[in-house]
Formats: sequence, structure tokens, C-alpha cells
Amino acid sequence: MNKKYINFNSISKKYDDLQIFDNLSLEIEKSKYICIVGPSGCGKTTLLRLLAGLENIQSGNIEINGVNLNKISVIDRNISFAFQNYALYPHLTVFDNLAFPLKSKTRKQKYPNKESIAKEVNAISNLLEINDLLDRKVNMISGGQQQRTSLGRALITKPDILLLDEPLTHLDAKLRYSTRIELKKIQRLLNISVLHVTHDQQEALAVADHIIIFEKGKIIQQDTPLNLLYNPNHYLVDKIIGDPPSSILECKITDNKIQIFDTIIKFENTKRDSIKNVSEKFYVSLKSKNIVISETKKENSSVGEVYSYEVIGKEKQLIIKVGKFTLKHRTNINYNYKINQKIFITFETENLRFYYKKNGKFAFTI
Amino acid sequence: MPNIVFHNITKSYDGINDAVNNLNLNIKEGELITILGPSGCGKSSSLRMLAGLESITKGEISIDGTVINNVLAEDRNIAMVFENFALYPHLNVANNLSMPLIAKKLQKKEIAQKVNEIAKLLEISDQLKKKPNQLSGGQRQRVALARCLIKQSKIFLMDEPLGHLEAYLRLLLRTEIRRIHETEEATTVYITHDQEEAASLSDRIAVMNQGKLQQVDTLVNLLDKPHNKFVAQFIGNFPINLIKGFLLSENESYIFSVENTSSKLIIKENIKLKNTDLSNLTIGIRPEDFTIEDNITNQNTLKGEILNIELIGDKCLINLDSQLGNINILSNFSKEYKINDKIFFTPSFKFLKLFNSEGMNLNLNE
Repeated sequence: MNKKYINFNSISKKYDDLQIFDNLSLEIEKSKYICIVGPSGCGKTTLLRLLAGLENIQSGNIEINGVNLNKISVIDRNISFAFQNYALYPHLTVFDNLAFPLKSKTRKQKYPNKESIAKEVNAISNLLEINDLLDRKVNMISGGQQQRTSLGRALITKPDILLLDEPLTHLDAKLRYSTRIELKKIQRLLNISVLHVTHDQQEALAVADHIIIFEKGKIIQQDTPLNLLYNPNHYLVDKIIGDPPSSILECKITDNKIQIFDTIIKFENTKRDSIKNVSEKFYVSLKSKNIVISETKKENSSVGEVYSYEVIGKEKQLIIKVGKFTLKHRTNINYNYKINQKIFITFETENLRFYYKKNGKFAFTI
Repeated sequence: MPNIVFHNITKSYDGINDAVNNLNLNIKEGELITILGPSGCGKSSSLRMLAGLESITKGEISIDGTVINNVLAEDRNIAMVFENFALYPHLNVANNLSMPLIAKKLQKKEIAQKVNEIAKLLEISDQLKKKPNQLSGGQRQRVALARCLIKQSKIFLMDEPLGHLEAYLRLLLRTEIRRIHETEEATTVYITHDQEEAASLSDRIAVMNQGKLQQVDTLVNLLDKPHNKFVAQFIGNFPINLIKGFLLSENESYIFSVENTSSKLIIKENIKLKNTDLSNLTIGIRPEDFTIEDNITNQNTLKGEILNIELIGDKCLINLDSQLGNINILSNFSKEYKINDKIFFTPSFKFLKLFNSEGMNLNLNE
């Protein structure tokens, strides 16, 4: 069998009574930038910790290049981990922080003297453009520079796999943007495998070659960013991926009619065949472009109220309440909608996506 | 709805350096204005002078035409929300909310009624018996907002109110703040260092740097007509492309010759230049202001090679090694671009931003 680079084979992991993974299997390709996305508590950080060897697996195994990792110690895995909070040694200089992993007993043979260590430190600090900071203590440098130092320390051992746990969370917007370009550049330059854990779908879409979406210890979808954006196969993926996010709500389908709020949408009979069981319950995903709003009453429209709004880019994003549901709709920045104003909503049905309520999976589109 | 005027306001803590230097700002009634700038720019000092928490070194602040320099903080009828919430830890939510009303010597029954009303508005009715340390960050901030609202002041001052919250809560609460501002018919002064947050909820933004007001304007004007390079760089979700070069006048148009390259940009827009050194200029072009072309369509069409691509919602940000140097272009995802692809692009000079060596924008016709 032609196996992928990293294989998680039927792994299970439990913390006391909390089951994180139950029989999870996952294959990961070599030399790709992989993002693992999910809300907190979905198991994404645990997955990295299992791979790094910081946690034990209860059952199953992890293989890299066909080699079972279960019996291989943390230090022999050739995997580096950069943490959210940098975890630098505050009393050491940037140089000593970078050099630290090379001074371990197991690397004594490879880096026997100061010169051999200095050579590696210089190479990595040049790559990350922190070569001017080598003499500084890490508490004397900025957050972005600490980030780079932490990354440099992870890369200095020339790992095959780099694990990043929320690497951009503590950076401000501008720095987040430049750092993610940097991360992608380094991954490509060194041709290593990166597993980057984040709760931020926008960050994942921006950097990843491939995204794995987790929910409660299970993979709900994995694909390229573009495929996830245009062909989500689960309503949760539809809900979290994309900008602005979709609003997901339950809808009634009878014969060839769909009811969304008070609006009835008819669809063609040819589409009807793809809906096997109409008596089932469905979710519909409403994206900004599916929502048409008007200040005057239209036939077959639903009534909503402007709850609030915000400006994003050069557009205005309205928060609309229809009963207890919230819809988001982007409109021209110059439209002067007032809070609490009544508005009338109809729907643009092209590419409207529906999901089965029973399992959340994609059902059909009209 | 009150209006607020800062007239020639200067604040110096040590008598030597000015934290705020000659600030003139006219805040209109019912406006939500944000004072935006990096740390140390004087934004908090300005707000604290308005609140009466700092003395005014020079100048006058007036509310509805009345100078308030010598009015005590408690008599200014201003409600303030702080970054760290500043709740009383030993009091439950209901008692925290009651404080401003007890200070006003209201009857117990009336206080209880107002507390319940405001708790309902901010959806914290279930939390009234809890102490602040039993609440999540988002709930605590709602309590802080509620305590601000309960004073029934018509002026809200908010000093980085979302600074300590998790990302998703910041997004959620900024539309809540906009809603409260409008439904309470208040005049609000909001402080942040986060340009995206400022853009999302403000009617106008006052950009400060090193104690000086740089520009006060709507988001669109700050983006299109920045007064100087600082504003151009500080505002905008993606970094503006800055291209150095010199300008030659030719017939009806100008030619901008890009430094260290043979590239020339022809600028037909009407620009007024006087007494300026034309050899030391910088053109600012936002990533949004480029069109990607299939081939050379006009004199300003240039070529570049793709270094990186990021998906941003349904658009993509392309990093290019181009005839203008390293630039970023935001494009619709009309086709799938790949790294190392060569593409043509044309910059738009509809809102030409041309900065002199002091950083002033020369293309402002005011």
C-alpha cells in the first residue's frame, strides 16, 4: 500500500474521563503546509502533542515514513515544536536561546564545539533576520522578534516536521500578516512539513496548502483552501469557513417548495430527484450574496430588523435579526441603514447549499 | 446628544515633553469618534482630560459650549468604560451596576428596576447574583458596559474596552457597542490602537501620533486621501505599497520614475506641486488599487512574478516580485494563480498618494 508521510492509525486518547480521540485515523502528505482548524477543546493541540511525543497514546500508533513512533523518544523524532507563548528562556540571550537545542547530550557528536554551534546559529538568524539581536536578552526584544527567536530555536535542529501551536495569536494584525508570509516562505524554502494549529479560519485559508477541520475529536472535512471554501461538505465547515461567515438555519421542504422564514422558494423538478427523502429536516446555509434586502415591502419577503452594523474593508456588514436568527449581509458603505430599522428580505437562490439536519452532511444545492 | 470641543489642548506630565500637543478636535453630537494611534500617541491622555481624570495643561475642553476645565469629574455627567473593566471584585453584578445610582442617591426600588432593565438589554440578567470572578471575559465586559449605561449619561468614553478579550468576543461586542451608542443616542469617544476595530465601528477616526493629531476623517477618506505617510501606513487592512522614485513633468502629465529600476509610471491625474523636491518622493498604492491583466493593456501595465498567494475571504492577496519592487496586490479570485506565475498588472491612480520627503501627501487639493 502506498502510504502517506505521517499516518495516525486508529489512535485513541483520553484525559481522565474526557475522551479526546476515539479511533482516529489521519494521513498527512510530506512537505506541505497543513493547518488544523477547530474551536478550543476539539483536540487539535493534543494531536500535535501526540505527534511530538509529549503525550502518550492509549491505543493505535503513529507512523512517519512507515516507522512506528510509539517507541521512539521525543528527542529522536526529529520534530520541532514552537509554542503559542514562545517559551523562551528569559535570562538567556537570543544567541543562547537559539543554541540551546544544539547543546543537548544527544547532539554532542554533531555539534562538538562552539564554532559548529555558532555556524548554525548564524545561519538560522540570517534566515529569520534576527542576526542583529543575537546579544540581546529576550526580554529586551519585541513580541515579533521573540516570535522569530522561538521559531529559530525550533528550526535550528533541522527538523523534518515543524509543529506550530497558534503561532500568530499573540501578534497584532500587521505583524500577524507579515509573520504568516514568513512562515510560508520558510516552509517552502526548507521543504519541511508544517502542522499549524489555529482557531482562526482566515489565517488557515491564507497560509495552508491543505486544511483539516476538527470538531470534538473528529475530522469533519479536509481539503485545499479553495475546495473548502466552495465545496464544504458539512454545515459546520460552511459555518466557519469563509468571509463573511454563513448563517445556518433549519428550513422546511415540501414537494418542490422550500420555506425560509416567511419566504417560499420554488425549485425545479430536476433538482427534486437529488433530494431523496423530503420528509427529512434540512439546514440551509445563507451567505451574504444569497441575501437580498430592501427597505420597502416586497412580495414573498421575510421581515427582519437591523440589529447593528460594522464596517469591514470598504463595505458595511449589517447584522440582521429575523426572529431569533441572525443574518450577516454586506452592503455598500454609503447605504444609511438605521439600527432597529425594519427591512424586507428575499433570497438569491443560486448555489444555495442544503445540509441534512440528522448528520450535518451536505445534501444538495439548487 | 452633546457635542464636545477640544480647543488648543496640550498635556505635559513633566513640563518638558508634551503627551498631547495642541489638539483641536470637534466631536459632533451623536457621533461615535475613535481616537486611534500607537501606544504613547496621546490618545488616552486626551480621553482622561475629557473625563476629568487628568488636569489640562493648556487649552479648553467644552461640552455643548460650556468650558469644563474646572468642572469636577463626577459633575461632568460622563460614563467611562476601561480596558480592565474596573469592576468591584467583592460585589456581585447587581451591586456593581447599582453603584453609580447609589452615588446619585436614588431610591432602592428605582435602582432595582434600572438594574433589571439594563441587565436585560445586555443579556446579563442571569448573572446578576454572580461576582465578577465567576464571569467570563465577555460577560465581565458586558457588566462594565452596563454600569456605564446605567448612569444615563449622554457621553460615553471607552478606553480600549475590548483590549483584553478573546478575538471572537471582540468581533461580537464591537457591533454591540455600535448598537448601544445609537439606541442610547449618545456621543461616544472610543480609544483603540487597532485600526480594524476603529474602522469597524466609528463614524470618524482621529489618527494621532506622538501627541499630535494627524488627521480626523471618515474611514474612506483616510484610505483614499491620507494627509501623510503615517496615516497611509497606519490605516488599511493590508500594508500599503510604498514605492520610491522621482517625478518628471511632461506635457499634460507627470512621469514617475521608480528608484533603482527602469520602470516608469505615467500619471495623468491633475496634481498640484509647489516648492517641493521632486527627486525624493514616494508613491503609495493600496493592494486594492491594482487590476490584474491578461496582457499589456496600457502604458502603465507592468509585469511581476508571484512569490506568495494568500486566500483572503473570496479574494486573494498576491505578493509579487515586480517592476515596482516587492508589492502586494489584492485580487478577485477569477482564476487560480500559482507561485512563480508571471502576471501583468496595472495600478490605478484614482486617488494618487504622493508623499514628499517629510511624508506629506502632495496630492490634496484642499
